[in-house]
Amino acid sequence: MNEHDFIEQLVNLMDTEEDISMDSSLENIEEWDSLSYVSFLAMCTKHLGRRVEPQKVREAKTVRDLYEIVNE
Amino acid sequence: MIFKGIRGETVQDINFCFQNRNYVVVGASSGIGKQITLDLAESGANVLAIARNNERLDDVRLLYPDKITTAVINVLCARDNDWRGVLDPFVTKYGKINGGIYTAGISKIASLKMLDEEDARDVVETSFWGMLFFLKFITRKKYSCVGSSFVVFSSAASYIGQKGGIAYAAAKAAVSNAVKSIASEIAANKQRINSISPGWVKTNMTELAEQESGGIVSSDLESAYPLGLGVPKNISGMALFLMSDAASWITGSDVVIDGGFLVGRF
Repeated sequence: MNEHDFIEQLVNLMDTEEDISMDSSLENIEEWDSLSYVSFLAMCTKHLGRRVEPQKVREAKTVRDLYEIVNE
Repeated sequence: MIFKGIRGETVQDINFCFQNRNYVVVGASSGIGKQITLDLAESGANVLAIARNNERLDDVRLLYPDKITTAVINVLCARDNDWRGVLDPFVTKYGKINGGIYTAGISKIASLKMLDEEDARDVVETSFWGMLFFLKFITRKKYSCVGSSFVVFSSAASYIGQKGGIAYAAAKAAVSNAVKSIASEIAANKQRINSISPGWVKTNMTELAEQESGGIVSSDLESAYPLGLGVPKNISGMALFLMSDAASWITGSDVVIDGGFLVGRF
């Protein structure tokens, strides 16, 4: 998945109207909450066919961090 | 008082005697279904244990090889002929059935906005539709005695709102509501049906749900349960009671067994 597609998926997942870039801080995105976190894990399992480490997702600070988890 | 069961296991203060009775348990290879299967066998009943995983099912059978027979069915796709195919040989061998228990269920956490249709449908099919197709056959006079009792599984989750629990809560609410209509239909044959709504019981299913949530679910789980989290044994006693003659005037009810979860939330 390229960066553009990833951001599009993440925006869809969080249902946010904010401008999101790779450098956006997750802390500043209001919609990045516990439900988005769980949905993100589910999306990874579904599309990557593998579980990502929840701890890594929790520790992610930026959109890029999430992208790197997906592309590991 | 402490009693000893037929295998010498310690039984608690209530002891059931289901000698010469026949039961069918769906979802018997793990969790609550497995516990009910073992308790029934321990009480002397013949049990037809059904699940989709033959290997784990056989481990259950080996604990009471002369009491438990097994059959593999996937409730997601089992229809008329599949149910007939497993019920016919059991009833031919042991006689008509005194009761049936349907515990099959899966949980998938998904938010409304990211709802995956396939996953959501699987959740409802397993808990609700699978149960209906099972009951459609097992309640027939051909298979079940006059006075037989059925126990199916709703959930404490059907009473409250929980993020990501839409399909599961809806499926389980469908179960306890369908029970009322089914109860009024089968009462003509003195048959009964009730549902049990467990809170969080430690099983394979809830362990998967915990993993799926990436630890969100478990973080405040303990504190939500005044009596702590449940184990299958906390539930199976009620299932056996509902199938016993002592419960002969109980039908169409839902019994919450949740360690105080619903009353204790703050």
